[in-house]
Amino acid sequence: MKARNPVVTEETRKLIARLQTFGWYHSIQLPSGEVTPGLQTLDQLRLRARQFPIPEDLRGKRVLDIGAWDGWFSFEMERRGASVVAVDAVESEKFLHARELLGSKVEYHVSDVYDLRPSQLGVFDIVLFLGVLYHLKNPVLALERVCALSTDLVCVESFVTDDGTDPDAKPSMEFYETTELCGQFDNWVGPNVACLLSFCRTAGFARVTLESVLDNRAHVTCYRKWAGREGTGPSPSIMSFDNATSHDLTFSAAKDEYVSLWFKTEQAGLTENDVFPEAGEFGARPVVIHNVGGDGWLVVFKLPPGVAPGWMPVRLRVRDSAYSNTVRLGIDVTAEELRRRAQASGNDSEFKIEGATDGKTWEPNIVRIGTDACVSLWVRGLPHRRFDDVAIRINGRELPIAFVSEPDSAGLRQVNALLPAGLAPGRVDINVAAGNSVTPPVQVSLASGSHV
Amino acid sequence: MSSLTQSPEFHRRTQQQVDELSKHGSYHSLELADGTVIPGLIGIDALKARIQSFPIPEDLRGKRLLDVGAASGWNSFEMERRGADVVAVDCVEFEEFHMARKLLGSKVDYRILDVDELTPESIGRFDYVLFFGVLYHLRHPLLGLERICSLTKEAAFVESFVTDEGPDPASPCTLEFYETNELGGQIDNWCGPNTNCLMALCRAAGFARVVFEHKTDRRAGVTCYRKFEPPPRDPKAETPRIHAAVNNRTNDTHFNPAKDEYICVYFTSAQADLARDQMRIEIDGYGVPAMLLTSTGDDGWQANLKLPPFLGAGQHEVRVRTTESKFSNVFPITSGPAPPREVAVGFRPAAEIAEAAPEIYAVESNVTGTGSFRGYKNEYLCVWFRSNERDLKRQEVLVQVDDRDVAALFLTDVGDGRWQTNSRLPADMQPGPHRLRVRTSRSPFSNEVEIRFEPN
Repeated sequence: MKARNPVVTEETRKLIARLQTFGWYHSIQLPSGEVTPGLQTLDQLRLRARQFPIPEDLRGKRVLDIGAWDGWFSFEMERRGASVVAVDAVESEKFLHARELLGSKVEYHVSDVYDLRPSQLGVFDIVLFLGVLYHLKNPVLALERVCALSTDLVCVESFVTDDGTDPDAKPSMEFYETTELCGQFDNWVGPNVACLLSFCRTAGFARVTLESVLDNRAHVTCYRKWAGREGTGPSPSIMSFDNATSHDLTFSAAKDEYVSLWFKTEQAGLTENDVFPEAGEFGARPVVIHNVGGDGWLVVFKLPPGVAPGWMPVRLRVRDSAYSNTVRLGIDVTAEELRRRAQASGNDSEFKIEGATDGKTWEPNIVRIGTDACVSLWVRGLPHRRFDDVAIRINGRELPIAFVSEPDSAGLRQVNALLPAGLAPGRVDINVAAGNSVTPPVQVSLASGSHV
Repeated sequence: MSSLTQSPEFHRRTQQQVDELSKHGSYHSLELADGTVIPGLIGIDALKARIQSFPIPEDLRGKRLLDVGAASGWNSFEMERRGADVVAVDCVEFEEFHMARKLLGSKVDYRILDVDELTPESIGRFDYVLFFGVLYHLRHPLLGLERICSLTKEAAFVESFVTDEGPDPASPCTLEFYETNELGGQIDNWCGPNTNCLMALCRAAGFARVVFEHKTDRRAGVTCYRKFEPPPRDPKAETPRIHAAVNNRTNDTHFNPAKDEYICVYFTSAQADLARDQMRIEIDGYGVPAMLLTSTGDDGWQANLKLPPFLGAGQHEVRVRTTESKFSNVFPITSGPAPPREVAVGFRPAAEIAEAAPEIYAVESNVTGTGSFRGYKNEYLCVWFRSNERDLKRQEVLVQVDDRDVAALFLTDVGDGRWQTNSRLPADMQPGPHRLRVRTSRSPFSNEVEIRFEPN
């Protein structure tokens, strides 16, 4: 146990006294070959870097080093060819001095981790987040910020309270109110390894891998993308989706949003590890997956941090399957954009909606909102082709279609879509979009309350 | 640790509750003016018992009260019945709240806001805050508590799921984390603190003192006070004296309220063996627990504490007492957006002397509390002087020891034309007496005062 341990506290005090005599925390090797000795030797620093799968050749890559201190990791990433931005909460004169001695071009910012935004720094192929997490009062918030800044890989190193070998350990962290950990009052949290991995997954990474635990320090690689590729098995079909909290179709990039996605697949016995949702370019790990009857499944996942406002494509695959159809979630879309899409109509005057009813009661021009709400549309001129790029729009927001019939004698196809339970009652504009063609809108009343 | 989250029985019960809720449609039971009770998932008796376990005054007339996570609103309506002006917030809208509000003829102000959106600017500040059943739904529990603290003037009543059976002084602060639906099968339950951790989180958020109230069925209630108990009527210890209150990041007396800022308070006290839990430090009348207390030698002490969360911009007053003493002098600090970094301008005399000389009326070491200096690392040369000049700036003041300039680290307006400036002693001081004087850029030198360098 490191916390509340007078021996560890005393050792830390001695280390800090040594740090004050050295002045340097990281050792830095100068172009002359000479080494500025620091508290951490070059071997120790190299050992830390080696815990992570960071490519030797980083040419063309952007790297962010959060908590850079004297800058060894920043300069090492630059040596490998990366364009590097280093950030620390307090300015290190040593960093600036080393940068000058090395003739380095590393960009240096002083900022709290919570204040780091893609809008200001851009996004990075690799983010180093080494030795910072346990200094933070809101570790998950910080990891969410870090996740939003990354496009591929994040290396997390943190103090942990165990060695990660107990498979039954439940995620739990210690909280250090004052100086319990090593006598320092800027140490706030001590997660166990299971908790650190949970924090990283919760922040929004697709995959999280424990690399090693050395001397109460865990090394965790977090990936924003899934490892595997699209398979050749039958594609699942996305039937409907909503915002898992509000049960409507609105999503905000600034909030912690969860997506419920209903899909069908021939595969049985799916678990969280078999389903691979993707939102935009990022993988999103399932929080919940369960069978809703027959071949129907519900998967819930977190909207990945760092998504841009606009229409975000979402699709998934399961096990060895090919990709499903793609649906588009509106992230912070403006009322004006929605109006434009609702009022849009294609050039194809033969493509139109000739009737709309509740999908269960067949009441005309009214749809009962609630659990299992469904709308049926009778559509003329729906181009006959793959129906997986056919969508219906409700006030400009898109939903996939759940069913298309063969044309009837009048040439009309029945198109059904499942509606979220939490849509607001009132009149809405509905269109059908197929590729670039869109029908003119028809007006339908969404009515609260169940069927009589 | 807690086997609760793994217990099928607990899952089954939670699921049963959710089913009941959807059947009843109401979370809290509600009692109308005529005595009619609308049954809900939680019965009237349980709601009354929860409220009664906290020291909430029966008469709340003239008080503003915030109910965070109001759900169906029973607590809001009960507080309104006691006379409070109530604002109720929730992250999702409860239809039955509107219904009950209408039936009761209530004036409770109901708003849909996330905890993250609660700021003194958005909804004002409150004498009392209810924070029932919300904490364990937060991914950032400490940030949530900081927001609650910044809205509270007197006390916040916090109730949460906990993993143990009450505060056990021997157990470390732990917090279980629920990545998916481990707790009660719900995905919006994020964390389960033990009772010690719940109380530590409340203190770390900035509350002065946190009192354990009750533990029922895996839930704990704590009262979080923003103020310490009143000072002793008959103080037995000498009054402490503050020599500096500085930002531990920048070493000056300005703070950025958007950051998690920490203050080092340097003071003298004749009390030997002072301990952290005897400290009663206030900022603008709000108590702040000391995280660390260190002797700086002789009578000198250094206390580290957190700047209260989301403090508004402006001037703030720091003062110190112990459990045994009266309050010290007030030391002013400022907060606001980070000022542009000061260009290092040396002291430059004005073209003509236009002002009267300042008058030094006190010089002290923050370690000895006297004009005797020891040469310790954290020792300040504190000089107090009177001046007729207004709006003096740090770079307009010059301190000299034996005719040698020493940099003024900061300058503090202590009111009534009196100023304090803190410097460090020159590095190569010889033991014995030394002369000290001060001037401003527009004045001649002040009176000379003797200080003594007496290293141990």
